This record gives sequence, structure tokens and C-alpha cells, in this order.
Amino acid sequence: MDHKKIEWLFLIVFVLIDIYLAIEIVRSPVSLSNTASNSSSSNIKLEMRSDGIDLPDHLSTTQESGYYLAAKNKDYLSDKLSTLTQVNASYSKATSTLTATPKNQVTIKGDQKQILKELNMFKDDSKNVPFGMQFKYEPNMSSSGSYIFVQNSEYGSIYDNSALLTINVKNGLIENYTMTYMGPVSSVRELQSTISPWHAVRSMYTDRELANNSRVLKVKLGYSKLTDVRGSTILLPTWMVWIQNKTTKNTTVKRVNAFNGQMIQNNTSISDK
Amino acid sequence: MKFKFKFGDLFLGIGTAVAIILSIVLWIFIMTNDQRFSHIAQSPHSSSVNRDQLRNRNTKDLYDLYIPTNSYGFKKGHPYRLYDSKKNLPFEFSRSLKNAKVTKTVDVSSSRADYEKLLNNPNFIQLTYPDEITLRLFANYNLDKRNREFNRIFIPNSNSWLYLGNDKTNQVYRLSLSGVNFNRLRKYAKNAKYQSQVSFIRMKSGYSTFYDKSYDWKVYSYITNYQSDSFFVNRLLGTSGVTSRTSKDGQTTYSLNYSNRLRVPNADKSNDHNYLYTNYEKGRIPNVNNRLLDSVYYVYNLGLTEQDLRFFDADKDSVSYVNNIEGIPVFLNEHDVQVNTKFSTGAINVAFNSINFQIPVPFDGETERLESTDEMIDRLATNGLRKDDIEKVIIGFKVEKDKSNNSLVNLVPAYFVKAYGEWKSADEWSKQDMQIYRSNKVAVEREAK
Repeated sequence: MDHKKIEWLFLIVFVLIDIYLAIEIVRSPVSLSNTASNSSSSNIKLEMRSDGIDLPDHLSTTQESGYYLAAKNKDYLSDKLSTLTQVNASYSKATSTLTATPKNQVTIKGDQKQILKELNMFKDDSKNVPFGMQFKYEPNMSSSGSYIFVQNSEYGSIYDNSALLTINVKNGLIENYTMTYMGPVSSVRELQSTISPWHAVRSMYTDRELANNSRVLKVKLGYSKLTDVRGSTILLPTWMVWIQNKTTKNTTVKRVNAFNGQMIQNNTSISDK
Repeated sequence: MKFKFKFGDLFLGIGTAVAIILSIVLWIFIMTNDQRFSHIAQSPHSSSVNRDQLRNRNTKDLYDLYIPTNSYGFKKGHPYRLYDSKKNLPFEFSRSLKNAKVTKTVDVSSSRADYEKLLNNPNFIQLTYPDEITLRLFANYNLDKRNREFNRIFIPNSNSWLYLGNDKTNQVYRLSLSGVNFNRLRKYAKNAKYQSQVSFIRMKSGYSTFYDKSYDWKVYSYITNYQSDSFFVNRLLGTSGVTSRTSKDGQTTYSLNYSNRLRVPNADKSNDHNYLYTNYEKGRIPNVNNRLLDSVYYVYNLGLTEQDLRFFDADKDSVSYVNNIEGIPVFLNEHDVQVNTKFSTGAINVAFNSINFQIPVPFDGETERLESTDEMIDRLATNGLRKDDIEKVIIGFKVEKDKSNNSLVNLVPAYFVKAYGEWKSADEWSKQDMQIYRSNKVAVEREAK
């Protein structure tokens, strides 16, 4: 009888050991590598589709290139007030923002093309807007009545609150404008390769930054502020991704570091459309 | 009843035996299943990685690790190091070559005289790697199975061919190409800054770039950060895979069963941020092409920022990578590289440093004057390091902490010299007692044999 008890005990112990070992085998091994990024593009696209995420038709998989840029932190606009003879302008040192209202009525009428032509004529005149020629219309950020221009450079457009021109139009007339200006930018290091637009969107998806039931409207390479160092603002190339919620139709813009694919979290400077 | 009782006994006996045998089988299965513990299925050993796969592994093209690092052009018949802060000539070359197809390869010459003639031929733009890479890694090339090695590219005025040169063997290959256009590269080279006049001087392991005069070199600054131990433990051993953690002499080693180990540096003031990952895996040392490809796989797995990481040096069993800033390699902790992958028949050791050159600081005008290379070599010779023993000479950056900010470092240019298989700064070699060094080296080599 004792012998039988021992045998039962053995059986139970070894069955438990077998169960434990079987669980160990079945449990998927921990991956050494980041397998998510190794998944094929088509698999991820399928996953996105099943999550209700729509992508633009031709999302490029070609790498681009970009620079680290720097702009000297300086007050560029206050000196220009005296040159603005056709507007009543004031400058806030606290926010580094220039606000101006045309002295005479400036009519903005016609179709979209005509409106843009007239707005460009207005902002390119240095008596109206200082450094206006350096600003470029950004349709993805503008809305009716509020036309947004971003600071442009030989390296590309800068998407930051400190490099923005907003012209407000009401009843076919320019009501006023607000402006910030970062100053001239220069490259800090040599040209380097960036990730592709597709890789940027994929990084967002794998980082769970792309919500289900959303539509990627546009992906564009621009420059965003990274930090301030030794009296200069450092900018880096970022993929700007415009995402629309399919239900609410709200559009948000998110930024992906174009050098390493990481999300830029702290930058909320661009307003939603 | 008796029969039933006996039958039950028999089943109990058989059941126990089966349970014991099954547990032994399962245990053996777990202990011998390399795929489970050493991830062989994912590891690149035995060349499961090819050039195209490298392009798809990561969000960024890992092939960037194999962009040439320097470019040279001629002015009034003299070779100069080319530099263009805006254009980045090696990058432009790499871009031009992406869709290239090699249609024919011909071994042209292997004589030293011919090679030196080519080195000084002003009709070619030259791009160089710090050490030899293989043709298979360089371009879509499947014409034969030979691992042709080279470290120098000679771009002619034609878009249909180029020369590749191997500094060690003086071998020149002529590559016929389709799908390339070097016109933009030639234009950039023409407009680049002809910064410093150079000569290509034969050393023990090939031709080194000698700077004919003393020049001022820019000091660059970076804000740095370091990845944490836990980042690398998670990355290399998995989030729940660590089976043991041991501390010895202040150093901690994490293990994933018997196959993978990660030694992390001391967390105290002596922290040099040097890690050692070991993957115990039996196999042959891969051939040169696969060593280069496999090492890329390990570099990727570390999860380091790869923006400036470039191939630097390869020996018969190791491949190393450094950060390359404006064409100049960065040496850490006096003379360490960023990643060194060492292959042996029993294990693969990946030594790496966790520093990340995170944010570049605008150049503030600070420069460092370096003597001519000949002067430096003469200085070392008087200290006992003979020119014949020097394998390579290169200008590199040493990392110095900035006094104003803990995370700010300055990259100060200095000469670095490889001799007896070791990279050290010229200052380190000049402080070295060469007699003691040589006798120690001989003793170590004898012991190894």
C-alpha cells in the first residue's frame, strides 16, 4: 500500500512537471529583435486596414534627406516696426509676436487662386510684412478666414509657432495679421538620410500613435524645433502627418523624427485645421 | 476484482513511467532547442541575411552603415580631402548607386606601381572606406561567388564604369555598371571645399591619408545621453527572459539561460558605458561577406541610434563600427569603438558603448591645430614606435566633457594610429613604453598559441 502511494505521488509530481515544461515550450519565446519592425510592409498595411486606418494612395517608401538646422535666438521683428509704413503694427516682446492691421483697406476677393495671389502680394511687400517673402502658404493648416503661412528656407519649411504668419480675412478684407519669425537658419551638420513617409506612418502605427478608424491625409517633410542650445534653436527634419478622425472629421497633425522614426511628443505648436 | 486491481497497478506503473520519460524528453527538448534560447532562427549565423534584407530590417536603411566616409579630389595635380558641409559627397555617391547594377567585373591589375599611379590620377574622384568591404555588400552583384574586397572607389568621367581598389593587395577591379549617374556627384565635388592637401602613403595595412601640412580642424560639440541598462537587458534578453543576475567585482551580468549574456558596466563614477553581449552559439566563423552582414544584424539588435554609425574596421574575426561626424570617426574612452562584433567558433561577442550623440550644437569657431602626419610619425618613431609597425593612421575625434554642462561633450580632433592590431591615439602611443609593450604583446601571443 505504501509502495502504491509513492507511485501515485510520483505520477502526480511528474505530471505537474510535464505540464510546467509543456507550458514553457508553448509559451512564445521572447524575441531578441524588434520583430514588429521586421514585419513585411504588406502585413502591416493589412493590419492597418483591418483597424480602419486609411492611407494615401501613393505613400512613398523612398528615403529622403535632411539636416540638423540652427537659428540664432534673436529679436528679429522689433527693429522692423519702423519699416512697416502701410500697417499699424505693435510688437510683444513677451511672446515675440508682431501684430499689424492695414492702414488702408486691403480687399481680398475672388476664387481661392485669386485670394492667394492677393495675399501673397500683400505679404511680399516689406512695407506690410517684414521678411514676408520667406513665408509660404500652408493649405493643410489654413481655414476659411485664417490663412497660415510657414517660414520657408533653402532647406525646407519650418513648422513651429515661432515661425508663423497668420493673415485673418473678414468680409473680403484683411483684418489683421500676427507673425513670429525664427531668423535665418543654417545647417549644423552634413546632409543625412531620413526615413521614408511610409516608414514614418508605420512607426506611428507600431507606437500606437495612429488611432483606429482614422485617415492619413498627408505626409510632408518639414523642420521642427528640437531644443535650444547655446543661444540657438536646433531644428530637425520631421515627417508631418495629418490625420483625420473618420467619425468626428477632426484633423490633427503629428510629427515623427525623420532621422530615427521616434514620435515628437512635446510639440503641439501647430493648430488643428 | 483481483484482475482489476492488477490492471490498475499496471496502469499506474506505466503512467508513472510515461510521465517520467515525458518530463525527461521535454526537459531535453527545452535545453537543446537553440531556437528557443539563442534565437538561432532569427540570428544571422550562416549568412541568412542578405543585402536586400538589410534594407528592410529597420525604419532606416541599415545599408547606411556602409556609406563611404571620405572623398578626395585633385587641384593642380595634388590630391585634396573634399568637404562640403551642405552636400555630403559620400552620401550623394551612395544615393547615386542605389539602383546600380553591376554588369561585368574585370580584375585589372595588382601591381603596386599601377595602384599608386591610379591613386595619384587627377581624372578620378576617390571615395574611401576605412577598411575593406566586399563587392557583394556594395552593389547588386551575383556574377560569381568570389568575395572581392576593396576600400577605395575611383569615379571616372563616365557613368558606365568605375574602378574599385584594395589598398592592402593593390588589386584593382573594373566594374561595368548600369543605372547610375554620377553627374551630380561630380558637380558637387567640383564645388566642394578643397580643404587640405594630402598624400596617400603606404603603411603596413594599406594606404593611409597623410596631411602634408599642419591644419586647423573643427571641434564639434554634442549633447549626449546614455541608454539605461534595462533598455539593453530588455532589448537583448527580452522583457521576461532573464534567468539570472550575478554581480562580481562591481560588474553585473544578466543571463538568459545558458545562451545569452549581457555584462553591464559599473554604475559608479568609473562607468565607461561599455557593455558586452555574448551569444553562445556553436558554428564556424563566417566568411568576410557574411561577417559584415551578420555584424549589421547585431548592431541593429542593440537599438543604438544609427544616424552617424559607420563601418570602421574589420579583422579576420571581428567587425567594428564608430560614429562618424563630418567624415571623421569618434573614439570613445580614449580609443574604444562604438560597436565591435567578434566572431568565434563558440560564441559571438558584441562589445558596445551606450553613448548617444543626441543633439548637435552649432559650431562655435573652436578649432584644433594638428601637426602634419609626417611630423606625428617622426614623433612616435623617436618614442620607439617604428613606421614599419604602423598599420594605419587616421584623424579621429576624442570625446572630452565640456565644463559648462554635464551632458555636453566636445569632439576634439587628434591623430589615431593602429599598430599591433590596436587603435590608440598618437598621444597614447607616445606615452607608451614600447619595449615593455612589445614584450607583453609577444608573451600574450605565445600564451594564446
